[in-house]
Amino acid sequence: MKRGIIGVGILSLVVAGLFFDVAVADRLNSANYIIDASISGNFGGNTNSGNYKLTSSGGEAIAGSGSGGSYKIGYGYISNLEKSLSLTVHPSGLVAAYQLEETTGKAVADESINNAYGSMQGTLTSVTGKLGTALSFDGATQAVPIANNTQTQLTPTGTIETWIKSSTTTGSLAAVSKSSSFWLGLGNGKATTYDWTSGITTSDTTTIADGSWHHIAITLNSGVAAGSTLYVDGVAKKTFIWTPQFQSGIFTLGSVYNGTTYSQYFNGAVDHVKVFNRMLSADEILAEYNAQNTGNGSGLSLGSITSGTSNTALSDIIVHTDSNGYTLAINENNDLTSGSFTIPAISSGSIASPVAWNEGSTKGLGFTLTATNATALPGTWSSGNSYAAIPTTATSFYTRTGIQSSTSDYITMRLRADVTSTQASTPSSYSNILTITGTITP
Amino acid sequence: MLSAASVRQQSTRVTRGLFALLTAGLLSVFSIPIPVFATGTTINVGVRDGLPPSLTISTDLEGKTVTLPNVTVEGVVHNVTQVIVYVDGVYNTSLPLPSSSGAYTIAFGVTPGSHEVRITGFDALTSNEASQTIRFSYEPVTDGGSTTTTTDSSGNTIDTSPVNSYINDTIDAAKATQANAAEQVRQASSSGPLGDLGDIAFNAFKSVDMVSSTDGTGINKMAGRFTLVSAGLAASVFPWSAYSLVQKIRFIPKFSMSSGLATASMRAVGIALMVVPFLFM
Repeated sequence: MKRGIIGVGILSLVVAGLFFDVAVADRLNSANYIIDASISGNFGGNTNSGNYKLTSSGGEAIAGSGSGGSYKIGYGYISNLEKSLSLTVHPSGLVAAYQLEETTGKAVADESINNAYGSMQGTLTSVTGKLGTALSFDGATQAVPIANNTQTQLTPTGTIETWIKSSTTTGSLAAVSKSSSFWLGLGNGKATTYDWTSGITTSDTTTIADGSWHHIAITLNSGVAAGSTLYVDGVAKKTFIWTPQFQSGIFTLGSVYNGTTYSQYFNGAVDHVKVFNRMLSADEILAEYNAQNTGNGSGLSLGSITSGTSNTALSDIIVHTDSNGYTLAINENNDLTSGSFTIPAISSGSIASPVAWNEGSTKGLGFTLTATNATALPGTWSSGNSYAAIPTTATSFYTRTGIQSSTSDYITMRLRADVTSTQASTPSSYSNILTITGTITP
Repeated sequence: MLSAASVRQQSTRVTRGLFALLTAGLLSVFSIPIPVFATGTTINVGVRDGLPPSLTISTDLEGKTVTLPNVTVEGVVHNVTQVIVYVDGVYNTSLPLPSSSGAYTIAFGVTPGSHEVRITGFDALTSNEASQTIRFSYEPVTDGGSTTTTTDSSGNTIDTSPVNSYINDTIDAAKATQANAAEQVRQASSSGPLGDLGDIAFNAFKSVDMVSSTDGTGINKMAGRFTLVSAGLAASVFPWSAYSLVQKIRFIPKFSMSSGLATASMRAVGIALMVVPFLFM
């Protein structure tokens, strides 16, 4: 009898211990907060700082009120959590995007789908940027290293672009670098890039360290003589050879960091850094410059077209959200215009009923959806083979539901255009503004 | 059999779960879609005619001679997406262009000598191209600058063109020679036994006012006095030897003297030689 009581007692202790262990493991402790797990008993996500790291679920905020260095923690329960959604549109191939809108904290957000956050070395100052705000580097101690990740290992091609503002006309100032791979910044006040393998520095001839914002970019093609190009304010300036020694170096803003020491600190402001895993064309670089120079985050280019042969451009719509779902709508301000000339939307084919593109006979501007990492594309888009006109009023074209936790989605959109022979007799450049609107659906 | 703590934990979870479900239900009833973000982007497209690509060169280089290795060519293209440079038939460099037709500027490097450079405008859309050819010579000069660059280990840009390198080498050599010569003069004038002996002798003569006290301009007087005093001293101390020596000099007349007269004469001459410099020099 005693053995039975002892056995039940031991079993009870074992069972109680198991439950107790679970309960302890589900609590987050910090100096300011204690957070208990909800129904499932798991917080999930990345772990850090002993047991857990609080990760943002959409944009900067985790939820609700209560400030941390770079996050907020709400009180109450699920119903009190604030939902957020951030949305950007870029040329396809974006692997890193730092808009540098941070005004507090040390974290520097990556707006690409890869979420490769950087961490400030020193306390950088937020200043008026080319778009929104920018980060100012002191040229002596401040930098933003981003832990090595495969996304910025540009093999064999890539593009780096950024806006810079500086008045320092001497020395080497790295705005964006990846040690032993790529280097973009100022050399004696001129737009400069550097190839680690050949040891060759390539600089433009014009000084841009004049206290004003300038757009600098490099398109990279590994190992090809004169296969890479340096751009300044949207214009190709120099070609050079780029051959990375290795790709695992540390991607850094405002300096060069070899894992041990920082060097070539940037003295000035840096804004809107983007990295692509492909070479953007000269048209795309110019479109990016023109768009951002006029207050838009990105520029898309369909290149040049002749009547009867359509041209296409791919862009990625990137969404970060912690909501349960969202809907995307699209509109444009008018038809593609050039003075009194216009390229209208395709004559038939709406978002509700997109139509196949018939090369040679379909004229105008249309769009379709080709890929996503999220909810499968609706069949109506026929895997990118059916096109719709872009309306002038916001119209829904994609809906995402059933999100269980924070997510980063991309939806690839293809634009396609062709013109009539009559229109082609008057060569010109056409443009308009495309707007994508995201709506949270709780 | 569960402990009190574990039962309390289970109960809490159930309560939270019911609350969450209730909250979610309320939200679904009263949820209102919220537009939270709109992003704008520009779309650009260029429309072209069906004409083939064309390229012109406005830089006047034909038949000319340039003095720098870096050459810049400007011109205008139409329906061209890339400008390519071939020097003597060999690919040199290229430059992508926006699709819109317009002006272009491209720079490339050449070696000394005559060259035939072909500038090609390539249209990636139609795979057609247009070319222009120019012929010119590059003759380096020693006073020219250059923009051919490389970099040192610190990332600093260095001009490495042959002309500039030659000038820099020459200047560096001249600086080295000048520095070396200056060092040699300094060492020769400030050290070594001869230098030290000279300084001692000069200071000794200066102390007895045989030379200028401020510089070496009295050295000739000093040398003359020294010679005469030495000769006078020798004649006074060794009169017979001095007489014998005088007798051996070819251009002095030979005459016979007694030993006493010769000794007296030599001593008198010796005294005169020692006194005269201080009276007349």
